[in-house]
Amino acid sequence: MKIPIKWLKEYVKFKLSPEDLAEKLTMAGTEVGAIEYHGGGIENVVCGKIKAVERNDAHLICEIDLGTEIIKTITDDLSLQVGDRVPVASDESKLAEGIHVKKIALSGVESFGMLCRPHELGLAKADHVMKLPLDAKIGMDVKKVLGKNGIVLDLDVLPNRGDLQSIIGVAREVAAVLNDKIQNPNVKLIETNRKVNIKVEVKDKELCPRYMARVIEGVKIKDSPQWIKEKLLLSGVRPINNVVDITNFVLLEYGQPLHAFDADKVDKIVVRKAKAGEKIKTLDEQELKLDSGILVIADSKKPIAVAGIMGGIGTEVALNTQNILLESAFFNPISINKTSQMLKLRSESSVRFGKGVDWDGVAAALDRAAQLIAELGEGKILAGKIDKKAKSRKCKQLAIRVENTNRLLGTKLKAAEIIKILGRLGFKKIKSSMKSVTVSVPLSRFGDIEREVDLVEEVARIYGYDKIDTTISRVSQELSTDAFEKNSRKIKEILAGAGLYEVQTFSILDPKYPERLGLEADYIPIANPLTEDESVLRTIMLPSILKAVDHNLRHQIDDLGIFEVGKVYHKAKSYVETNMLAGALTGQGADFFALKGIIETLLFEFGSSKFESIQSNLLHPGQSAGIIFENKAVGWFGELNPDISKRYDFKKPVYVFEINLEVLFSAIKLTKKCKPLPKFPKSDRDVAMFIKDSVTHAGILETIREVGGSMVEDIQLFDVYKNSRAYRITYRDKNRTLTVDEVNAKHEEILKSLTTKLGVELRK
Amino acid sequence: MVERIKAVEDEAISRLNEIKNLQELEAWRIRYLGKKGLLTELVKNLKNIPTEDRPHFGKNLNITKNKLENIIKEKRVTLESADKEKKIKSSAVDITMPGKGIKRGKLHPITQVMNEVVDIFLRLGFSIADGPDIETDYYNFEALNIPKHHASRDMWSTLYIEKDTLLRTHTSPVQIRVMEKKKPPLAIIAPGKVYRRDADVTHSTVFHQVEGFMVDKNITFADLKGTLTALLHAIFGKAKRVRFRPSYFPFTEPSAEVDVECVNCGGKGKLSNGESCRVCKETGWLEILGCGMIDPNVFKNLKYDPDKYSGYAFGMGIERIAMLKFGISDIRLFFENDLRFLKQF
Repeated sequence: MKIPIKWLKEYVKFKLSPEDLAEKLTMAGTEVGAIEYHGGGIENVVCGKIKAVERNDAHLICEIDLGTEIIKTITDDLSLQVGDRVPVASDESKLAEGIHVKKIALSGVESFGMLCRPHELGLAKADHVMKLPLDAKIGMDVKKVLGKNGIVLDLDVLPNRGDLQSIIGVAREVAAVLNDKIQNPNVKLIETNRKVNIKVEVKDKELCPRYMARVIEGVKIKDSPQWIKEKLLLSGVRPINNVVDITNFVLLEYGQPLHAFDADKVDKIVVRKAKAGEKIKTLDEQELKLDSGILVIADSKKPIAVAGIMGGIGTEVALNTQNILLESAFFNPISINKTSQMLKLRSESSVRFGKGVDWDGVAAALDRAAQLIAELGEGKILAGKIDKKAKSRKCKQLAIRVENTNRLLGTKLKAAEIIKILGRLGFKKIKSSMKSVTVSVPLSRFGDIEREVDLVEEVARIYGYDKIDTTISRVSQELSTDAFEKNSRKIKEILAGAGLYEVQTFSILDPKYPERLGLEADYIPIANPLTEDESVLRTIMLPSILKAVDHNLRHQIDDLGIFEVGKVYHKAKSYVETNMLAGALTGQGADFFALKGIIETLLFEFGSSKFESIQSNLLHPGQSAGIIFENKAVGWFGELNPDISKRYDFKKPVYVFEINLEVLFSAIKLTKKCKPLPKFPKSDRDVAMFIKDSVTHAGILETIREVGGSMVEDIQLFDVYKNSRAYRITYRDKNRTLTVDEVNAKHEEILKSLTTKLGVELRK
Repeated sequence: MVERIKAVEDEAISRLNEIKNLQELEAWRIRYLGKKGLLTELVKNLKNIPTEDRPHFGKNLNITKNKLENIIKEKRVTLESADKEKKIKSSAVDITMPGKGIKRGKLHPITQVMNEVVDIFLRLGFSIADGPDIETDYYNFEALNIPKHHASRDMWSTLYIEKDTLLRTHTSPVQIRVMEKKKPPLAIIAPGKVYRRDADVTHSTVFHQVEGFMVDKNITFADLKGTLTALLHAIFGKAKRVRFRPSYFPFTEPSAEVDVECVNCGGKGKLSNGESCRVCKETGWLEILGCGMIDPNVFKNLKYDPDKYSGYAFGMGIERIAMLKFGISDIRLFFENDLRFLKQF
């Protein structure tokens, strides 16, 4: 909501600077997003008076008095007249961003300078050259002419403050904040003897609880006077003609949307729901199909406006319009929002009706607009007004308890202070005691202030949040273990310690990912995605991880290790979300066993793990393994299948893993039990051998354990070269010291078994 | 005999002067003082000398032996220290050479900030809770006092899965899920991913929030102010000013927006070179989080008695805090996962 300061001052007097006012409003809950200084950055533009005009084809040649000199300028604005005061720029002028003055010659007439349109001075866009007030001094810098007219507060109005969508509403708020009073516009209507003759029928009083109308006859459609245009321009509204401008002006002033129909084109007014199949062409030239949920304004035959949202073509005010039917109404906010969403149609009107307008403002705005149309359009107001309403709305009465206020705010306010604060906001005291205050809520706050707690908020914000104490309280709740947080943090620390970087990826992806990975497309799609790239929920972490790998490889980061803790999503009977750990390793030092080492180190923190061979289309068939943790399959790892690598255009092998954290965490044994330390010495014996291709490490361990039994404490593989392996076997008995002969005998037995069972060739 | 002793002594002393290292010294020791050394041989020879002369020769021998032993001791000390110095000199390193790398990775900056925030609340006695990303309209909106077609729904641009099923737009549904199951007193934080249909340099369709709330008897707006002020001071430094200004959220009443003094311009709105501050858009303040006292309508849905219990709730975007803390101007950097970016934090 744009609030020109000078306009605001017509309703509430204050001497604060715009900055100080902005600060006060912000701290009372209406954030001032920006203070706009129109004309800021504008240099060397002066006020000129048009002395003579001469038509030349499609142009006007104007003789303009600048005070110090008289220049000739060409313009395509044919509406200019002798006597008009206009902003004149020369080639030394600075205009709004991106606009420059060029010396031109049209039809052989040289033109000096340029007559500025509002947007060239940083104001709203308009077709016509800007007209300055007739009392503006010739030759004066245009910034001075516009003066403080040019300062505009841009307010971010909160969704519950429909009452602040108008200059008067903001004036009320300013008065409350500054503890001052407001001055309402003085509206005096002169009606003719003839009575309003239009027939109005409201068929749906639920969706339209109040419908008012007046008729003004004999109106001359023309340009609005400068004072209206200026206010509209500063508020960001483009002036069109006097009647349209007045409806917009009153919309801004009262926050009440109005609609002007050409009374001669409307035989009667019926407020009703649309019939299935009905259509309307709106003022923005869209043909809309209506359905039975939509409230329309119709004549005897067809819809002529989508109620509260936009008028239709055919009944609007045009240049030849003489008689005006002016509508002012209260439409049901929910219904307006629904229709606006359904038709994807938003307007200044729909936004205001959607937040709810002031019940009393419906009448006040109608009279104000009628008065202005009569005055500025030389029209006559027919006697009486239509007012169809469900029932009159009365001010709601609400009680606020002193103790409850202090209980919620942590304050020590007394009843008298509460009464004072609410009084400033226009809440009238009905009755009060030390314990409780009852007030009546102004109709302008209808829908927003409905409960005691809403009054508590009003008290708090006017009292000042900054005056409320700062305390810290704790509650005595049961301590939670926060096991997931604890374990996932452990995982992250271990993996970062192992050289991997944590990544954060989107859980929503391009639907093409299953195809690239050779998977079935069983993802959950988003109904209204922002982009195709982010339109489905992932069922697997891998594509997100590979996206991060891909980004880095494309940016010449060839060596990387990454991981992420994130969710995958499936639809079964309901939606299932599973926490996963996934990652990748590529470049220097990356191979199957580097990744296996990282996974072993990680799982060692939580319990015992082993690996088994698996078949997966995602992995290289010869370098893929399933991860078994405490006898549960928790995940897989290996080299990314070369076919997939090729599709991603990865030049080097990428090693990837994925672990289901739900399964992993549930398999963690909670208790750790201490074993006694060995009391007797160990004996180590080494064995080196050549093995056949069919012999595995696991097979060797198994053979050694089988023969060694409880005497073998540990077996370490300490050297690998081609098909040569060297192991160190540690012998120990927990109850006594083993003799050299015993150890040698057992070791010989093991060597024999390795030779006979596995066919290894011992190296001597 | 005395001459022989003297001759050995003279030879030993003259040879000692030429000794340059510990090995030579050891050879010298063996030659004179060893088991078969010259001096030892003389001692052994004593038995061949007439008994009456023995004490005289013995005394002489002892004097010489002691003399040589003292000399060698001194010489050894000198040589050892020279030797040590030489060794140290030869093992000196170029300390500018790189360390032998233990490759360590890092946690993502979002995780770092998230952990920082979570840890502060854990110290204040809060517990962690979580909820699903795929939420129902009920938990995401209706139970939070945001009815269908209410104007306030415009505050969240929502990604829908199907009718009444959506990607949660905030972590606030966790409030409802926890309060449905448990009774006060409660102090909960809920970190997690949230989704909006909105993307530019400061908005991401996927981002992270931490939701928090405390419900008990007599929890006040002053408690909310104190707790969040403590949080922001912990994150941004105690010197930073913090302000609470009235705002609107359907699920809190009264509601507030919390601002912290701009980290870029120190709250002045202008930089030291006179240029206007782009981080705070010249306001001197940065909007950090939204909060308020839980609305009685929310309590009523949960069958909590709003006259008995009160509570505060707040929600903050982690990316926003991380961007301000680390001076990151484009939110998309977080999700590109460029290692050159991740290594900086």
